Amino acid sequence: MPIIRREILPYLAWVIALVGAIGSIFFSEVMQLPPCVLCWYQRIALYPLVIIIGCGIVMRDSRMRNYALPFCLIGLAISIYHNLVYYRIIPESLAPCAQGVPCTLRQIEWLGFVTIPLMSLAAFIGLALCLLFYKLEKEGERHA
Amino acid sequence: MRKEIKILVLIGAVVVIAAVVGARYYRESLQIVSRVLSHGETDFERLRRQGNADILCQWQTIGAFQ
Repeated sequence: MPIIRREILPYLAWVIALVGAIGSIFFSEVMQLPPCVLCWYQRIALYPLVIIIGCGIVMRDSRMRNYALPFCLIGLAISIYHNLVYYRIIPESLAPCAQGVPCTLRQIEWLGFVTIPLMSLAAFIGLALCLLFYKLEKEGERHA
Repeated sequence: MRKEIKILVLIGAVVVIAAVVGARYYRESLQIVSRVLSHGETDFERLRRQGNADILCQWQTIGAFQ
């Protein structure tokens, strides 16, 4: 018996996307932490996922992966790059944050290591895994 | 209503309500902290009676008053 039933994964992906979207709005609008350029690019990849995954679940569309995974992988790539810049593995001069808020600005550091780019990376990894391994419940399987 | 819609609405409502409550709590605590910092109000006993000591302790834990 699998540890997590694969029918739950779309819901888990939707929750991750929703919490990520609302959390990012919370950081910027409530906590007044201005997002950097890379944060904005990740938001652009994350916000549509709430709608796409939600619609995919409601419509029981097995092609949801085809629509959602590209957004997720683009967000994941930007997130990996952001973390590399943030932890100074890539020089800051290569980052597209020359103006405005620097991409390496440490605004949150919960428990000494949980930062905003790390949370974003974890969210996109979780989303990618859920989208890769999910299985949608089909009409005929409901009462089987 | 379909099962999927019910689940999504339920989860969405929980997340949104948690965010709204969190935002309200954060703004209130921010106001208390700014009052403490601007007026030098450090009467923790009075703040405790008003039910604000927990908030101050949390902010103190993360080093807000250093």
